[in-house]
Amino acid sequence: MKNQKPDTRPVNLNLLKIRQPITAITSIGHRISGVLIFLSIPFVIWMLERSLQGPQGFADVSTLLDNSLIEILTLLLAWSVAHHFFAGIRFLLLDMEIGIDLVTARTSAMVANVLGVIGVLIAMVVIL
Amino acid sequence: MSGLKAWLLQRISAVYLAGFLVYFLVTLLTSAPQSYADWSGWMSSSAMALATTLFFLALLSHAWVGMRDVLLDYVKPFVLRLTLLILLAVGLLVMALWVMRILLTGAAV
Repeated sequence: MKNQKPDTRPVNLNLLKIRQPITAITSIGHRISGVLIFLSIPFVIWMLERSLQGPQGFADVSTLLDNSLIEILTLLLAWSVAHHFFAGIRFLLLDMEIGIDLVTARTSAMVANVLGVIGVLIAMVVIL
Repeated sequence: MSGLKAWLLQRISAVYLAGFLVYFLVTLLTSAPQSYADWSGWMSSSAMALATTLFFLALLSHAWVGMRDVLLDYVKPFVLRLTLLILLAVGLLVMALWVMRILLTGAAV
């Protein structure tokens, strides 16, 4: 190994140009959505506390949730939860060696991605 | 917590989180509490207070495993990595105590 010539072959690691397989998109989506859910936890706990502090607190949280900016954040959280939920179930099944052949794994990755988006659409209908 | 125990914790908590989430969202969609009385009545019933507390404890444990993986993957400098892991652990513990105070002491009800 020591005497090898330095590798001068061109490297193209531009992540925006590499076309990721669908399973990789599901996987990184699972990670990103997980981090977003993590970041939301203190705000959710705070809203839970406020909403249980009395009729005024409940009304305050209701008003807050009707704010347009908060609605956008809520939709982002809805995507995160939906994608994390469905991709997570997929990973649990893969752990049990269900659907590990390539064709099924690709199909289930697509299904999880689509269900995540459908989750947001349902959330839009419900909250907007 | 790391290794097999963390792996197992992540998966057991995942199953509870998924189950609670489905129950919670279905209830919200079919009979959303319209008033403070409805909401606090639902949340302060002992079964729901316990189930919700358990949900948050599962969520925070699940977040520990997941966020730990993320930090170990992307944060290489040792001191920064250790600092963030400690902050994460402290933050999660504080949130666990916070949510237990809200739901279990009845102080908010």
